[in-house]
Amino acid sequence: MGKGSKDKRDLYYRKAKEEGWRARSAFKLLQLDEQFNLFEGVRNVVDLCAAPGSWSQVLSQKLNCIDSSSSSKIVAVDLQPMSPIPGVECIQADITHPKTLERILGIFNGQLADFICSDGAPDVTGLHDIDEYIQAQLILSALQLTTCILKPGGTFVAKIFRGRDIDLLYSQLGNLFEKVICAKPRSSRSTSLESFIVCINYKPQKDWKPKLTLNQSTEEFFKDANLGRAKLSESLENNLPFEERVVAPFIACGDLSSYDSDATY
Amino acid sequence: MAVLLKINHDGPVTSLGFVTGSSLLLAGVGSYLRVFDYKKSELLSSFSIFSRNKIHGISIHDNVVVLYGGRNLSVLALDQLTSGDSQRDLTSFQKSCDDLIIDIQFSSNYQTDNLIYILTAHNIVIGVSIFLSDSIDLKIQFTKSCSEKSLLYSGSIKVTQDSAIVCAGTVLSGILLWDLNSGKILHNLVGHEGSIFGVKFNQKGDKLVSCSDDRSIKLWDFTTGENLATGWGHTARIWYLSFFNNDTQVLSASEDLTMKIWNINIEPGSDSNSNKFSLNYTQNVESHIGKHIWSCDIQQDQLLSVTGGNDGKICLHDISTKFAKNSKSKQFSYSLNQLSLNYEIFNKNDVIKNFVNFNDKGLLLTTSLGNLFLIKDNFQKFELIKKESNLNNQFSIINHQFQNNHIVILTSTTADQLILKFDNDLNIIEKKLLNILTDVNDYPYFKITNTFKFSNDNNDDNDNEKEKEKEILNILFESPNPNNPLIVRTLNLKDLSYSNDPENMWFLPKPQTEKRFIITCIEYSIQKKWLFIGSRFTNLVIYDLSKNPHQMQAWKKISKGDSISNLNIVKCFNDTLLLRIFIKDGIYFLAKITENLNYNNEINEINKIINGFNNLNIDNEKSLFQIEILLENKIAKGGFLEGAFERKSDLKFDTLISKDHENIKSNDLILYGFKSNYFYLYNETKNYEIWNNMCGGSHRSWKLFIDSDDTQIKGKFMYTKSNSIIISSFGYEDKLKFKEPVLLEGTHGREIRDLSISKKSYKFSNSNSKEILYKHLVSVSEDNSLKLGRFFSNGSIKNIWFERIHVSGLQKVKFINEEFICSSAAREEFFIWRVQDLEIVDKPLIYCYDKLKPFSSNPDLRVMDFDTILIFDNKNLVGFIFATVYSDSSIRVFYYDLKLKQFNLIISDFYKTCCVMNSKFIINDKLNKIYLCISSTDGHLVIYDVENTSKEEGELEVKKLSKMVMRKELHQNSIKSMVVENKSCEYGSGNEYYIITGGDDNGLILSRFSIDVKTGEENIEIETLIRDGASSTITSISLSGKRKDDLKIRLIVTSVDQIVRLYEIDQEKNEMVLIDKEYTTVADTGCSSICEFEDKEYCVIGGTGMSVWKINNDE
Ligand SMILES: C[S@@+](CC[C@H](N)C(=O)[O-])C[C@H]1O[C@@H](n2cnc3c(N)ncnc32)[C@H](O)[C@@H]1O
Repeated sequence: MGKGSKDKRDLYYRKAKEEGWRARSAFKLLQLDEQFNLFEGVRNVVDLCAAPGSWSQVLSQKLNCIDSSSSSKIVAVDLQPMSPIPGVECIQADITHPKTLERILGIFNGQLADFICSDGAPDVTGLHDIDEYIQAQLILSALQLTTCILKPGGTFVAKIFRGRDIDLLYSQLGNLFEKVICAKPRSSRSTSLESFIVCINYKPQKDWKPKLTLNQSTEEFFKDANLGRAKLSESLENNLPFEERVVAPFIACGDLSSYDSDATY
Repeated sequence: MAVLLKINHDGPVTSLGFVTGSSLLLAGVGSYLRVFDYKKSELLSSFSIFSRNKIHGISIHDNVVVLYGGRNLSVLALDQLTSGDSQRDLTSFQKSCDDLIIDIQFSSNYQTDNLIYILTAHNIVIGVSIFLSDSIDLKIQFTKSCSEKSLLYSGSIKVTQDSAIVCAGTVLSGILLWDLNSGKILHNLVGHEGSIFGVKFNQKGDKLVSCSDDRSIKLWDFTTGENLATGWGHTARIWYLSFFNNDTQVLSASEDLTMKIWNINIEPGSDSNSNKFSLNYTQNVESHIGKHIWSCDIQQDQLLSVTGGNDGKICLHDISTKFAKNSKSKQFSYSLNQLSLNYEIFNKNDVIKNFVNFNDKGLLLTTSLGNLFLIKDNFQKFELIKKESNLNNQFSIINHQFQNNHIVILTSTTADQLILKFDNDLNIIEKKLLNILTDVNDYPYFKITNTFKFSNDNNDDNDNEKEKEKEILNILFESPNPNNPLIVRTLNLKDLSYSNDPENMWFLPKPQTEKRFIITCIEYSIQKKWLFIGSRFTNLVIYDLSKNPHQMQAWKKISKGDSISNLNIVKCFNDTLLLRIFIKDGIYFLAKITENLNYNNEINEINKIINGFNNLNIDNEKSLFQIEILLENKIAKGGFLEGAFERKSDLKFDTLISKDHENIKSNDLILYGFKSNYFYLYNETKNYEIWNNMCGGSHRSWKLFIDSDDTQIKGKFMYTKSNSIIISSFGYEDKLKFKEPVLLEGTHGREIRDLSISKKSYKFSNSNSKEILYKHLVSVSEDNSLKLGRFFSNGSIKNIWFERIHVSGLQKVKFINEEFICSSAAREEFFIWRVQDLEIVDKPLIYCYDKLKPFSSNPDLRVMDFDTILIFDNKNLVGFIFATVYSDSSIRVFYYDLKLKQFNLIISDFYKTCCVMNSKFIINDKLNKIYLCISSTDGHLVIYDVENTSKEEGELEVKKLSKMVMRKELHQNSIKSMVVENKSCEYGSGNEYYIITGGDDNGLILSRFSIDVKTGEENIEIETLIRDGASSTITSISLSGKRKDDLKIRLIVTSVDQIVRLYEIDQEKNEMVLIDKEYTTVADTGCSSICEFEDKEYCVIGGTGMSVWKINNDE
């Protein structure tokens, strides 16, 4: 039984169809918003890994972009092509490539973003080490963009898979945001490892100026950021370097009376 | 000292490497390295290499072994790995690099520069020099890159004489080739779609192969960058690619479980630049289960390959064209055309009907036009024995016997018989014509459709009887007329005549069945004189020929399916017999057949017919034979199952910490049959195909001869194809490249959802009569299978049965006592299994005892969990009470009657609208109370009062749950795991229970449920709340059966963060604290179970693989 066929029986899937969302994922962002009131005062947004575009739809609606006079700017990026959404500028590109980030910076042209989100999920191979690495790279790339363009006090939301080493990521994010919360919307199945980090109140690192250059890996980019990551070393390190780990507080969001995505109806 | 001690690990095989010039094979199984001598099929040693990451790559150069995985690498000396008493924990050698490692290669001048190249996931190459002395020193010499630093999914380094070429497989469908020295990009190969998962050079260095998300294989010209050919064939992603056989062939291994061999075909053009290339796969090898062949390696000199799967299995394959599958057998074909050219003019339309093979010395053939001829003298001489054009008189039915004498009995439909006796050189030394009906006047119109011989081909151990039986042969004659009985007559082999003694003549009535009774197979026990007959429409009949008149019992329609294809006596005891029954459609049974010695021999009861196997409602006292199913299973492959035999194999015991090679003999079950257009031999115990032959299908006349020895399965498969007979032999290769194709047996092919271990220990004694203890371990997985295995006291696990009766996503499995297991799954599947470990069989046996009928047709409705109460009547187990909980919030309670095999619904109710995750009874005998405790996805714990339900039938009516005693919000989200433990009387009132819950919210909570003796009032209190009990979902909690200092209750908690935690509850303080935590190498950690061997506790953890831990309770 493929994953797809299971999705189709899902109540959220049907509800998304009825309400005109491109994917059931829309409810995840809506439920996150219910909990954290994400869009208050938000005008400029980057939606990473956005295809087919249900988050962009939610953003477009919430920021009133339907109205062409709106001053909001939404940029959506994905490897896959996306059909147009009012008020959303779509880019087909790889977010792990520095060129892509440069392009986004170009579109904003010096302006800062209020909110950055990423619902990215790599092609899962089934080899945990590789999958975790690629997922971490997606988040690091999103974080790279965040440090370049998010205004202080802004919010960053990204999909994570709570496997091993997730505590490492929490600890790194803790250096950049006032609050880091692991949130699980009820529309996301509890049988799936998926949840979302909601990072509130961006506080740029004091002694570190992010500088995006082409031809740089994420590792090199964050080299001096002092995020508690293992550092690039001159000689190969013996054993494992010490890495800080913390557990982010967990919040389930969405009303208890909302549909249970694990239940059979 | 740590309380949790890791002692074993089984899981995906992520890397493999042959050591050139030796018979050593290195295998990365998770973060452990296992060293094998593949020729001897022996595990030499196991080492712990990385503390967290899996070994994804192995590079070997002379005595230097480089292992890498994730960001880790470890450089070791080969000697270190092969000397016997070497250190088992080598994690102190691991180094880390700052990015994911994709490939590592030795430089071409390694002897002088000691340099290795490390390619990382950002397309950077780090040059590192290795100083191998007492300690191993690594020093970074340089870091090089090209102008593109995109993320790589795959890559390889091709070392050339003075430099190296980096092949980088990117996320966005391009393959970048760049020169390491200059950093210059040589090519960007485009054409694939999706991420590139593999790219490899050939040996010569002029061509490459690559694969991607699009499932194709592409061949490229390195000089021009041109795509030469594209090969299609895999149905999922490809994880391994390599050239072999002097760059003429390509081997691939994939997520779709196949290993394929591709030929590079070249169609010459006008000049070498216009050559046309194509890629076609010629062979397809399947030897893993579940999903994914992760790793592979080729021993280029020997043309040998090895594959490692997600199932933890390691399999060797001979990939030389000479011995390769299908063509590996020597195959001979004799056609009538060929014969007619040389000898006599046969009709071109003549077709071979039937044949006898004389131990490789020759053949006897009958044809559709009534010819009977002999091939002898090493197949050089052909002789026509008889030509008969009258259809009725043609001898078309053959029986043969060649133990002492080569005797062939040919029968015509009119019951004429030609008996031929041959000498060793296949000269006819005696010839006799008979008609069996001349002595049997009662059936003048008896026509014969078939005859069956039966005698002493089975392994009864009564030698005396055997000797006697060699002199005679029983022949059974079958007539198409349902009113004609079956006739059995005894042929004396000395004088080739039938005995006229009424003692040796039986007229056996056919059982009365709706459809015509057509025999498909027979089996006979000399010792008991029981004749078994299997027929179309799956009827099984026993005739007891020891009694005169005979007695019969028949089972009608014993299983789904078209017919019984084979019957096979395994063993015979005093009053018992073990019989294997094969259903053509793929089901097989092992049944215990017992004679009812108290049976009252009344004439009118003689021929008894019972419907099906499972109908136990008939009074056992009144039946002549009792049949008890010990094993039932379904083949994985589909197609037709024709039969099976057993093969001796060694059971090896090895763990990470001890290398006990207690070689205990155990048998592998080898099944054979047809699938689509080929014939197969399949090792059912180890789950791999041994051999196949593209014979075209199952309708042909065929025979299988097995003459295996200790090292190997050998035999011949013969079949007819119009006017040819084809003889295909297997296993006769002169030089064996390896002893046993399976080096490591592994576990499930997909994630393990739940596991359970029997309380009872069983004993096993080996040849030195040393006793080894084991328990039964049952596990269920995402691949819908249930496995029953042995868990040995040294920590090793051996699977025995791989049950495929479930059809959908499994949830839970539990031993409910020593003999019964229950499992639950989607599609409302709830099965009761029976497990028996009898001395008479070398393995524990399992079969599906009963299934609960679904209430709805929703395929997504899952039985999430269940709990059981055993019901005894005068100390005899008579039934169970089950509480099943469902994903649509329903809760049901049943009484199951073991004898009547009946589920009686007692309670049916709903909790709310969410999915109920756990179900647990709380029984308080003192207060005569039964509670049902459930937990669900809404984070609440709910306790119902279940009124004491009477187990007597008849008075049951389906009720609602009476009273919700308690409903408490504990977790924010789903409660994934829940255990209940009675608090010891010394520390409480005896009416207190601990309920420990673990959630999706990382929380671990100890609650105390108490019942007031006086008022009967119930209360629940949260005693310890640990918000970050783990950094991810808590998936299982297992209670230890032991009390530390008689006071403390210990429990093991697993979580998706791959940390195993040991907690302790202090009963005095009602407090739960963390005692120890260890990282487990099993990903998707989802289940656990604790068991006890001679006072020592062990914990088995399941996920993608299994790991075994010892709990050191003295600490
Ligand atoms: C779960 S979907 C996003 C759904 C989306 N938020 C919505 O609501 O419609 C994940 C997406 O991540 C994208 N993705 C994965 N890796 C990427 C990468 N390196 N760059 C850009 N997009 C990527 C995939 O193409 C996929 O469309």
